[in-house]
Amino acid sequence: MATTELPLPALPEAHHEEPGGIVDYLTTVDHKKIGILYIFTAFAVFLAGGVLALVVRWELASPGLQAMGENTYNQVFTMHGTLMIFLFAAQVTTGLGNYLVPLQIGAADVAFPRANAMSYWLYLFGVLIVVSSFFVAGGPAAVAWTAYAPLSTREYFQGTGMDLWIIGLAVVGVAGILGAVNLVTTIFRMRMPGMTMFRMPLFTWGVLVNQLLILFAFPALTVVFALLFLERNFGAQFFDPTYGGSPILFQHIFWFFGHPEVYIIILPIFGIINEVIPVFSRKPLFGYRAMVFAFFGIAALSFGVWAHHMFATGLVYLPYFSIMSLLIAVPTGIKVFNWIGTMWRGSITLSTAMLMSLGFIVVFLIGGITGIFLASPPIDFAVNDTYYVVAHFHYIMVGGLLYGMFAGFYFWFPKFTGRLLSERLGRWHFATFFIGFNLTFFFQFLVGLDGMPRRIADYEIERWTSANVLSTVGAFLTGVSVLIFIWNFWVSIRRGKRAGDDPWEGNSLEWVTSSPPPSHNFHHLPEVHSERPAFDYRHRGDPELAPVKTDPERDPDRG
Amino acid sequence: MRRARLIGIVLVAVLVLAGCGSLTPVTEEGVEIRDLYNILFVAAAIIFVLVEAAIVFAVVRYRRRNDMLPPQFHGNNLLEVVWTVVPLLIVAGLFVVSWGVLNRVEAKADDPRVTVNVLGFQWQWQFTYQGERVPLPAGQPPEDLTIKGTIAKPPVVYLPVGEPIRFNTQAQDVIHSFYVREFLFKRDAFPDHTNTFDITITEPGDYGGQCTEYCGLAHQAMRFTIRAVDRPEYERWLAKAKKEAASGCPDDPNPRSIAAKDIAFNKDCLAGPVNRPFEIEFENQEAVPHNVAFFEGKDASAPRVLPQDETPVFPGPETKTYQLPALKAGAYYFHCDAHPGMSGKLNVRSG
Repeated sequence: MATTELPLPALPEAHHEEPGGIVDYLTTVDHKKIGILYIFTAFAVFLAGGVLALVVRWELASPGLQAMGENTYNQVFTMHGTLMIFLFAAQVTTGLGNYLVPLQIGAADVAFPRANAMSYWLYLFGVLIVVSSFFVAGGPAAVAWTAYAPLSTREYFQGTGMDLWIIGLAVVGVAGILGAVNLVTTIFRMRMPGMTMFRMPLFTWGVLVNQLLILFAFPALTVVFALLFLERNFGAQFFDPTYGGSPILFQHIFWFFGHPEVYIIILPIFGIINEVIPVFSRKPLFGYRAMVFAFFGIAALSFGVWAHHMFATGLVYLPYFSIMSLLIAVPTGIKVFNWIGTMWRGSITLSTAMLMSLGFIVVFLIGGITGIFLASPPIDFAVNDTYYVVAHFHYIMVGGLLYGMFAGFYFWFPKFTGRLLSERLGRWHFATFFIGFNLTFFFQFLVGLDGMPRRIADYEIERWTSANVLSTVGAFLTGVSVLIFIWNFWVSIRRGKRAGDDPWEGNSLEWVTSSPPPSHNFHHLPEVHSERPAFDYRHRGDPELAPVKTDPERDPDRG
Repeated sequence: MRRARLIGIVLVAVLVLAGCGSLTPVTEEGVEIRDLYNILFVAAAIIFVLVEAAIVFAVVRYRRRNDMLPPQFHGNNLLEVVWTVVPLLIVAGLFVVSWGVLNRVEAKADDPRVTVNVLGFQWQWQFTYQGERVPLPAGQPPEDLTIKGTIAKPPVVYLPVGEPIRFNTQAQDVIHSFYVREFLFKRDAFPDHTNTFDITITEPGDYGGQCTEYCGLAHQAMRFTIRAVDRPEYERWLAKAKKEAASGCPDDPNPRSIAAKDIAFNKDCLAGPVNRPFEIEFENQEAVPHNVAFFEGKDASAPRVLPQDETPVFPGPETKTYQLPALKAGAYYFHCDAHPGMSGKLNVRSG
């Protein structure tokens, strides 16, 4: 059959702007620069949310209302949750995914570079809209990050801050859906020859499943915010029982988004841990395919457990949501066991990235195990909406997300910048963070079992004070650890050791190209025969280390 | 190895500390929940120690000592099947156990002697003893004994020990949640749905409770006390409380004055004489606009006692005096027009 040569599209005229300048970043469609923009923006949100967390801890250090009134306190904890969950957690991993996924699959960029830029700018403007609510009359929303109706309807919360909150988050939700279409398409359509699905690095798998979850979950978020906005501003009555509306409806739609959101946040983090542990154990990942199936198991179950947030409502069928929630422990357990299997008989280097990964497993295990308690309805009746729940999900969110994020930062910083972060400061960062974090949240389990409710500006019971003081001390120590990290970044980006292309003896393709990579990512690509192309390339010619295939498909090398 | 031992000691200390999380139930249902918690805790502690020990062992034992590549194995099918199936069996077991407890905790008594209707509102609670009639003069509509809390004066709810008590929870405005620490139990109160559950208190004593579903400004102030006493004492209290409810405002030497502060009235009960004009003095102690509007019935849908221009909403601090006309004996509703959640009852009684 005759083939026709397609004319090459005309290339846009090259920018003469110095690469890396401000105009370059404002106009870029390069997935790496967009990834960096995502990470910096999300980190700024994280710092703001962290300051709000310290304000909360300051107020709770002793009984009574010291630092602020009830309304300010309610606004502070609402915006802490909003910034951290909606505007930081899912986006910092999207940033890492944006930067790394095309590199890991050997592509020159994402599938839709301009849409990628649009996702980022929508996200930034969404953040700015939410943050602008601090400057309107009445201040920001004070309805908790879950914004349950009818509390969040105009009858009970009037301020413009609430409407800005809804609009900003809806915009961020659209940005997330657009970004997900882009990354999913990239992973399915733009892998280099030889890069079969079952040879993809686990971080890319984590991002793939995470973005698929976004595609299914974020529309529910958009819907619930649209309903709430119509109810507040145009007299719709979706949640008002006087007109046949239903308050529980809000919770169902919200948690149909809200529980998968937890896995949207944590799956790319699992991916990071899956990359770091094999490299610093100098072994292949234990049970590669089981890890992939576990990702999908978690993703599927995450859509069947939303009402375990609503056990105390008296309006859900408890056994179904209980067993589904308990089952999530199985694929999650597989991951933990496989990480230990990866380290077993390995050759372990305790770099900061590895320390952070180990810290991740230790605290995530506590978060996961306490989740089993909450999946049992009778125990949930006792501890739901107490500090036990606060401690549990901070062990998942802070413990999981932040340890994994920092592991990723220490691991890929040399690839992003060409310089290594200081390991000495890294150890201080890890030590202060580990102690500070556990001090903050461990005692919240105890005070939660003793019945201290969450979201209260004040408490009367004296025996809760000691746990709260320890918590506050721990929170400020955690703050110090973040300052150490920022100092490390500041020093290392200027005077850090030169990293070279592959400082860690990495496994995936990003370690084959230069640090930082050129704008088109690769000058040359090695052949891909296994899930560790960089490892195979480093050991080419060594017959004992010939590639071991992880994919069950017909070997694409033989056609 | 010294490090491993140190980490071991820390782990044990953590577990002991975690076990000290005090669950001290005082109800039959709470004891079931505590026992279930303990079963899960033992299972969790064993898994936690084993997994953390494996991690610590691997990190200590397999530290990098030279540049030799370790054996490059990719997995072990048997092991992977084992650590999929064993957790599956464990969670299945935990599910069965907790389902059993759930059924016992949710079980309802056939015919509870005490039924309490719990109404949550922004920001306090009202408890109505269903069927416990207040002895009112003939001609007045029947009324059940009702204890209504204010932020300044949280309610104390007397209940008998040793028998099932039926609770019906509902909300007047947004969602609240009825929670008593020593019951190890909470249940939400919805504006459009009544939740029903039974609790049998086994130990006499005072038990603190509060709202656990975030409900706005003064959420933290929705506190109350359950006072569990034996049956005879409960009945003595019931008789006294009914008599007081019939006679006006119990424990209030000055039932013709009321004040507003922190978007709340300092009381929910006012009293006045029958068939004789009288004055109610209202002090608004804050810059927020308030008033007291009176209604000739049980709620704000009834006609107003005084026209709206005689009870205007005004910001404080300032004191106003309302001239009420001669009224028939009975219970009249009052609220603040700016904050309808601030409400109470004006008792017009002889004596």
